[in-house]
Amino acid sequence: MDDLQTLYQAIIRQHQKEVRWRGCLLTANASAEGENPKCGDQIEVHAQIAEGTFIALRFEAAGCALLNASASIMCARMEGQTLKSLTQQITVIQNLLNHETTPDLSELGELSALAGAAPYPSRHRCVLLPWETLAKVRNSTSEINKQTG
Amino acid sequence: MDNATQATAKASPASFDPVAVRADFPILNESVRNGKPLVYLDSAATAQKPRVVIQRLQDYYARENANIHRGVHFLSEQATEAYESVRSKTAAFMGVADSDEIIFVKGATEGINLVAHGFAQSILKPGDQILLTEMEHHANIVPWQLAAERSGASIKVIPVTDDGDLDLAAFNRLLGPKTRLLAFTHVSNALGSINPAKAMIDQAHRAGVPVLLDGAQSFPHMEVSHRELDWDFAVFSGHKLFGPTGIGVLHGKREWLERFPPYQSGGDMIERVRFEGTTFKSIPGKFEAGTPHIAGVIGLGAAIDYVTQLDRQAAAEYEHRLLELARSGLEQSDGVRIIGNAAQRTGAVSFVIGDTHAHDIGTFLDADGIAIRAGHHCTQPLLARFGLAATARASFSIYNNEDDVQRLLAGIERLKRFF
Repeated sequence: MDDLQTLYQAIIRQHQKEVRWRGCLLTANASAEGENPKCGDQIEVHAQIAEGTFIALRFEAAGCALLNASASIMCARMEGQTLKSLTQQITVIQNLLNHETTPDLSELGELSALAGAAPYPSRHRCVLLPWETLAKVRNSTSEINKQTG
Repeated sequence: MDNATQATAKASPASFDPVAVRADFPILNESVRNGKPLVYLDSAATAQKPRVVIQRLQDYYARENANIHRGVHFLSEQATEAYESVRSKTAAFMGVADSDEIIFVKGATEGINLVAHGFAQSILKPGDQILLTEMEHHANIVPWQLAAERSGASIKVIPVTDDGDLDLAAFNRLLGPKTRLLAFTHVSNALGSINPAKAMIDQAHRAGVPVLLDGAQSFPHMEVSHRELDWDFAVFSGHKLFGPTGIGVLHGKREWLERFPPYQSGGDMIERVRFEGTTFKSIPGKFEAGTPHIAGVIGLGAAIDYVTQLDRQAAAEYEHRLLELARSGLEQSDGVRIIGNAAQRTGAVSFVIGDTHAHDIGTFLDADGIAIRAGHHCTQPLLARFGLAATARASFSIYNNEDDVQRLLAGIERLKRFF
């Protein structure tokens, strides 16, 4: 059960049930949908973007615990962050899943919880889908070029 | 069991020994995920392989490998004979009289694609209708959508009832003068429902409509015979019948297959090639371009031998007992809901547990060594009809036992405490 406890650790369980980042966003100026063709899981990510920054983020999802937790962690982490920083965050997660980075809680914060999915390649998509959908949101706007810092 | 199984049961059944059968499948001795003995409940996705099939593949590659139909040397002649003998064996297995009507393909999916291609090229016209069912695997939906796009035909869909049966009254209404083909699955891969194939085929034939039967989930679980069902086309996949992956069978009636143009072209399917034009072999060669999956065909032959030496009626009853044991355990488990309650069923049970997502169910059980399928089972329209995006599915085969079922049920109880 050790792997399971790591996979579904407290941060994941907490974010899976967290409602703060769920729902539509009245101030959104960009949205995108993502789907996992393997399982049919769906997510829609809404963003209010200004000055090259994610001002506010929300998501709506029909999917597993990992998808929901990853989306919630993503919104908590990326709100207030620049559009350009998303690419680096996705790389960090990919490295965690591929065992190319040792999880370091002090630096990665809640992101490190996503490393629990590393031993389960069939679940990597569940973790990555929200982030890739946020990248679609980012790519749908011209705001990325307005980044100030 | 359904009438089809009963009607074709062997007159003098040998006994079915589940312990001996289980011992034929070496993978069932494997451990997974840190030493957990494997409980394999995903046979609807692919069946495990008995030792005789594995050995046959090894022998072929180690001692008999050669290309077929074109060599004059000893090994090529032997390989050709082995390959073609499986065609006759497959015809007998399916109750088909003319073995030239047996086409080797990659799997059920390619078989359906071949027929859909033939219909799009040679049969369908604008305004024609193709009749499918709501419980089809994507492999029996998407090829028809492409065929409809190419030809200007449209698709009609027989709905599924709340129990997971086909709505036969709707079938009656939908089968009309514009219907050019009925294509349906014999057994639902997601729900395990057995459809009344004989009655549906007879009804379609009375309306002058040919029928494609998707047998991917029925051939592994019951005797399915053309002599009884008289389909116009039927497909199955070797890997679900204890054979190798990458090999499958299309049976089509000669009068249809001869109307179709080649599906792929290349070597071995021609009579004469000139730059001015090429003439093609007659069936089956016309549809088997290039070097085929010779080892796969030979392995499929070993799998068919393995299946036909079993008392299939007794095997079906044994599997059915396991399925019903699992269903009754799931029914009694708080928070578990079974999807589908068809009158006749075999092979698989789909379920959901509270608001725990199927993926999380699958991963949790996997940590215990229990392999199930979680997802939409390539039947998104069917699951959407039940308001679902995904289910967990446990599927059974001749090599499973009661212990497998009990470990599944115990795993689910642990899961409910965990989530």
